[in-house]
Amino acid sequence: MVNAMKTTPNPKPTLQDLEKQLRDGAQHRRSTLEQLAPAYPVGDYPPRSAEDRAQATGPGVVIRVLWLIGLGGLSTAALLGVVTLTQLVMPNPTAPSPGILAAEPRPDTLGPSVRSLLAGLGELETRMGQQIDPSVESAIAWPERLNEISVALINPDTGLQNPIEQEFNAFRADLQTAADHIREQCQANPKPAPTGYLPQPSAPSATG
Amino acid sequence: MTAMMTPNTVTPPADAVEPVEQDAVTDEALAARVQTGCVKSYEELDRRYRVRLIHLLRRRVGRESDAEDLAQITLFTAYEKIGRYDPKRKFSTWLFTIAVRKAIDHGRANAKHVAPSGHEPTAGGDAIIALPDQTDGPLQRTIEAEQHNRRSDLWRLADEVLKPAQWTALWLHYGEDQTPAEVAKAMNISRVNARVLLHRARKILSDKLKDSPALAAM
Repeated sequence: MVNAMKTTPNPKPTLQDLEKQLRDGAQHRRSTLEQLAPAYPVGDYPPRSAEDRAQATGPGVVIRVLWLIGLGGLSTAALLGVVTLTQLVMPNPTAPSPGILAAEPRPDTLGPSVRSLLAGLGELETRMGQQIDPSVESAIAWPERLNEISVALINPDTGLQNPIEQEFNAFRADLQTAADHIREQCQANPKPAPTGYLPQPSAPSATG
Repeated sequence: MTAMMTPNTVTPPADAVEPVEQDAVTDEALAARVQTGCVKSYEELDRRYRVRLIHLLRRRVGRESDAEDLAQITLFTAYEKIGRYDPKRKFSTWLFTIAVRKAIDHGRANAKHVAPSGHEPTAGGDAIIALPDQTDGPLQRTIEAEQHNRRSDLWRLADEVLKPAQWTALWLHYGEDQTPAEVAKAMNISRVNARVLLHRARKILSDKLKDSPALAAM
């Protein structure tokens, strides 16, 4: 009977009680740790030169500027490429011959600026361990792909998005608009004209 | 002015010009001074954090001597990278983030020798660490000397029964005043995961207290 009374478990402490005990105990241990501090010598830190201090922020700024310049170029190239692509896939009623203009959009009809953009994005994604398929489908999927890239650019140290995210957002919006436009045009003109055109991989585009 | 004309020369630290009352200065203000070249401010941060880092890391790496080495590496890394620190954010969270990542790297490097077979790595790096203290450093001796102090009983219990990741989350939250979000950031886990770790740690302690009349009577 006595033994049974001894082994009767205590009621669980409430969360508030437990937290109070944890904070109280932690405060006590912290004060103990502070008393120990003199036992550990401070490290020997070399002075930071002006160059070091400049390097602390310099490369980051330079890289961001390069990114913005690069993205600006990519944005322009994307819009030019999309315009080229749109001109290729849209039949022009005033044109004397349907020719290539009436053909179904296919990778081989991409203008050089689009190819250049695809190559740039491909390189960008390759660096991030991903691949991009240089085709019209991937061109239409760019906005989604850029979403993935911008997520990958979240700074792990701060959990915040890189400042160039704003530039990406603008770029993505442009691409989204252009991709939607291309998609609408493709749906409106599903059948290619029988032109007999056999594009070559390195064939220059009509506008390129 | 001279420094501006010759950028490669080492400029005198800011504290060489006028003494700094370091005690009353916040960690964030000290870190901001370090960014301008004040080495003395970083030495003050070193004094404030070195033992705390060793205490945090010893539970993760097992050996106090390893924890001392990692604390040194952490402090030097933070000094080198101080330009990337944002003084608007809590310095302790930034420093603990570096420390935990160094511990995880250390654990990965030694995982083959340390992790028992079949012990899979988990979020927070549990598999890396599971060795008890094997050396008797000043920190361990001091904590053991407190065994008769009732205020330290609960944390000594936590030292014994919690997994390293649970212990780390619990200490960061209650011992270092980090919010669950800051705990998550420091441990490189999701906020949900941090809250789960805290919940489980409290539950384990609560259950142990239920079975231990002496502890529960604190």
